[in-house]
Amino acid sequence: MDMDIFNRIISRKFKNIAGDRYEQIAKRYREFLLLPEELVLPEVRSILFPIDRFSLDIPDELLETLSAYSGAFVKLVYVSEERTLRLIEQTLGEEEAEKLRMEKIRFARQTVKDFAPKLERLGLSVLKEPIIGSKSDDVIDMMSAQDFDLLVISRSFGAEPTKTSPTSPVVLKILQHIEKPVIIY
Amino acid sequence: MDVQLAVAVLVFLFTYALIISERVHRTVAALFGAAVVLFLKVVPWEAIPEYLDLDTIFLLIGMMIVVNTAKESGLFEYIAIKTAKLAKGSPMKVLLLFSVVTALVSSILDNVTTVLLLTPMLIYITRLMEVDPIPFLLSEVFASNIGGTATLIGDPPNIMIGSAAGLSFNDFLINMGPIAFLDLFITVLIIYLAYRGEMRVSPKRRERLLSIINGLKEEDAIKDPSLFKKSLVVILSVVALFFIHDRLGLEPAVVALSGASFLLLWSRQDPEHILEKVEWTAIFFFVGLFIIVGSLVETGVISDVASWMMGYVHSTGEAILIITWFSAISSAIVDNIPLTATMIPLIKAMGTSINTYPLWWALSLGACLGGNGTAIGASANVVVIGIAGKEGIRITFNDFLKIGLTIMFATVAVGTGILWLHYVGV
Repeated sequence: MDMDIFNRIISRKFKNIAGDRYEQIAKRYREFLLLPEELVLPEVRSILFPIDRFSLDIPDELLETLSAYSGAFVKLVYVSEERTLRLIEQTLGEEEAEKLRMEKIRFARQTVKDFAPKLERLGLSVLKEPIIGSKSDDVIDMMSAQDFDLLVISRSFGAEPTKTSPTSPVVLKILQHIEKPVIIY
Repeated sequence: MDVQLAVAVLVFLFTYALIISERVHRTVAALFGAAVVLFLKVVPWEAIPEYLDLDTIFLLIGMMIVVNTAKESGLFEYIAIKTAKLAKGSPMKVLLLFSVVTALVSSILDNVTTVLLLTPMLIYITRLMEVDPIPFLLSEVFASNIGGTATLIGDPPNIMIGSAAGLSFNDFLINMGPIAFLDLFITVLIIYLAYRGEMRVSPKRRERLLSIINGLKEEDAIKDPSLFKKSLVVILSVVALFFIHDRLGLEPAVVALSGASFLLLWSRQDPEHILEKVEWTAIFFFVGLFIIVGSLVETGVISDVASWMMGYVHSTGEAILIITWFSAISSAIVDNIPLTATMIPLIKAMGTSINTYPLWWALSLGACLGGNGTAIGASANVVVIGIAGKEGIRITFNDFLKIGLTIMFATVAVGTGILWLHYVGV
C-alpha cells in the first residue's frame, strides 16, 4: 500500500488540527532553548579581521570573546576601495591618484599598526596587511580562498549603517556570500 | 421506506464518508449534513435544544478558554523544562517522566494542546541525547490518549459520554482512572522493550546533556509571572471543583465556564484575543454532528438498530465486549467523536433491556484507546507526527501501525478485563 497517501492525509490533518499553533509554540521555545548548532563551540584557529576608516573601535565585549581564541592566527587587513582611486585618476589625473594611493597605504599601515596590539594582547598572532581593492569582493574571496574559521567585522565596514539595516550594505553583501561563523561588532 | 428515514440515513452515511475521505474539512461536512436535515425538516427546529448537547459544547469552550489563557503565561513550557530536569539525562527517565506528565496534563487539558506544548521539548532533549526520538514521541502520543481516558474532561468522547449519561468526574476517575494507570505502565514497558536498544547514551554525552539541561532556567519560560500564578490557581481550583461538582449540584460545563470567566476577569487578558483562539471549528463540528445524529434518533433509526443489536446481545458481558472492541477498532480508523456521537443514543436505546452503566465505560475505553491503533486514529497522533515531520523526523504510517496496534490491543484488552471483572465477575 502506498504509504505516501497516509502521509499526505496526516499533513493535511495536521494543518487542520494544529494550524499555525505549532509555529507559534516553536517560536516561543526558540526564545529560551539553544539551537543544536549553538551548543557546539566552533573551533577557531584563523580569523579574518577586515577594517577600514568606517570601522568602529573594538568594544570590550568583543575583546572578551576573542580572548577565548587565544593562540589563533588573525589576518588584520585594512582595505582601501580601489574604485575611489580610479575616480580620482579619471578626474584629477594619474599623478594625483598616485599621491593619494601612497597616502592611503601609509594611513592603512599606521592604522593596522595601531590596531594590532589590542589583538596581540589577547594572545592572538596578528598578520598586518594594508590592501587596495574591493571591500566586499576581496573579503569574500579571502574568506573562501584562505579558509578562515571566523570573520570579525564592524557593522560600519565599508559605509555607515543605513536607516533600514543595522549593518552597512557592504557587510550585508559579505554576509550573503560566506558560510563561516561571523562576529559583527 | 419512510422518506425522512432514508434522508437521515443517507445524510449520515454521506457525512461519515466525507469525514473519512477527508476531502473536505470535517466541520464543513458536519455542518453541511446538519443543514440538509434541517432544511428538509427531518429534525424540526424546535427539537434542536434536545439534540445539541450544550453540556459538551460549553465544557469544551470553557476549558479551551482556560487553556488558551494559561498558555500565554508560559506555564506549559515551564512544566516541560521541569520534567526535562527531573529526568537527569537518563533516556529511561525521559521516556517515563514525559509519558507520565503527558498523561497527567492530558487528563485535565485537551490532548492536542498537551502534545503541541510538550513535543518540542521532547525533541530537543532526544537531540541532545543523540538518540532516536521516535520511541519517545510515540510514547508521548500513547500517553496522551491514555491520560485522556482517565477523566471526564480528558478526551471529547468522555465529555460526550459524561454529559449523555450524567456521569460525574469522580465516576470517571474511579472507573477509568485505574485502567488508565495500568495501561500507561504497560505502554511504557512495551515501548521500552521494543526500543531499548536505541535508548543508550554514553556517560560523556549524558554529562554534557545534564550541564545543558541544568543550565536552562524554567523561569525564562514564564512570559508573564502574574498570569502564570493566576492560571495555576484557576486550573487547580477548576480541577478541585470537578472533584465535587456532583455534590455541589453543578454541571461540569458550569465549572469550566466559571473558571474561564473568572480567569479572564482576574488576568485582564484581552478577551477578543483569547476567544479568537477557541477552536470554533471543533465546536461547530460538534454542533453539526449532534444535529445529524439527532436526525437518526428522530426518525427511529437508532432505536431500530438497538433493537436489532439486542437480538444478538444477551448479557452485560457480551455487550461490554462488543461495544469496547467495536468502538476501539472503529476509532483506530475513523474519528472517535462521530463514532461516540452515534454510539451514545444507541446505548441509551439499549437501556430498555440492559444495564447501561458498564457500557458507558466500555464505550469510553474503546473510543479513547482505539485512537492509539493507527497514525490517524486520534488528533494527538496526527499532531505529533506532523511536528516530527516538520523537525525532519519521519514517522511513517507503517512505523506507527506496528507499535500502535500492539499498544491498542494490549491496553484495550487490559481495560476490558478489568471492566469484565468489575461488572460481570469471574
